[in-house]
Amino acid sequence: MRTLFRLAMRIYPKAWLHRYGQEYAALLKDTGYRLGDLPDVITKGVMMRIESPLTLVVCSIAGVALGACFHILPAQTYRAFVEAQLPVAGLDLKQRALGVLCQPSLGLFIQSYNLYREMRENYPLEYVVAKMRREDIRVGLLPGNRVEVVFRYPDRLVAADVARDLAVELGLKLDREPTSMKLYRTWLFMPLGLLMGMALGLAVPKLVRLH
Amino acid sequence: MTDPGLLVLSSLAESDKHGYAIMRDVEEFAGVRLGPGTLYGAISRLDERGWIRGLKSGDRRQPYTLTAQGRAHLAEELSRIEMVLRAGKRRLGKV
Repeated sequence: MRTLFRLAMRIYPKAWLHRYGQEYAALLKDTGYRLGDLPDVITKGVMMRIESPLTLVVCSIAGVALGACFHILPAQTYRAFVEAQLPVAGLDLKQRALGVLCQPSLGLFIQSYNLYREMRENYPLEYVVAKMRREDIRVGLLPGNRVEVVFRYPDRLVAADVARDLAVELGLKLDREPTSMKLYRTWLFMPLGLLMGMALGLAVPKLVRLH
Repeated sequence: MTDPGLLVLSSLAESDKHGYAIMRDVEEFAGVRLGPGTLYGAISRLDERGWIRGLKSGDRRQPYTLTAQGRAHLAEELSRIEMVLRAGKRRLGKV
């Protein structure tokens, strides 16, 4: 218990500890290091670190609001995915995937669907294929011997068509048409925004003081 | 009345005390247990404002005394509280 309180005391600002540390430690010893006091000791330590509560609150709210904007604003990408049962035994999915996701095969996909038009104007096809394979296609095994094929693209219908054709090329029998959904940014942006806002709120008064 | 600063000042108005003695005294006369963090947060704030002052001591336990400024502030605060108390009681009586 004593160790916990000693660790909690490290939260306090150095200058404060220099002035009151000894007597504070003596008080904690006198109270018998009560577990119930630990939250109070920690909270006060954190509060003492906060130089300007108003700046902290404002920056935190701004961070959450920014995170919420990222969360709410729709991304200009659709995620089409299709699930299928692995068909007959002996189908080597890895081998098939290597064949389907190779340069010539994906190059054909790109040309027949006229994918990544703008990018192809500026970059060689090899680069576009590599980007497509690395960022936009995912083939993965799911529980229950099922396979998932995902393709991300800014056009909903094209995304679904390509996902379906990729699955067919992989030798999968589809039970249903691909599902295409707008790709929203993750809700994690909100707590992330809060954390960044808090960090900024703690840093700003220190920076202002330094200047 | 649960303002830790005021409770510490009230405790020191009687006699000089160190942290643990203040904590025990406040618990006794106000029925409020100040956590160590809250108590020392208040002590350091009052010390910075010049309302209390640490006394020389050979012990790790630092005794504190009320300064003249602290005494004046306490008197002012208590009269304000007394005013609110009287008004509240009077209004309750009307009900």
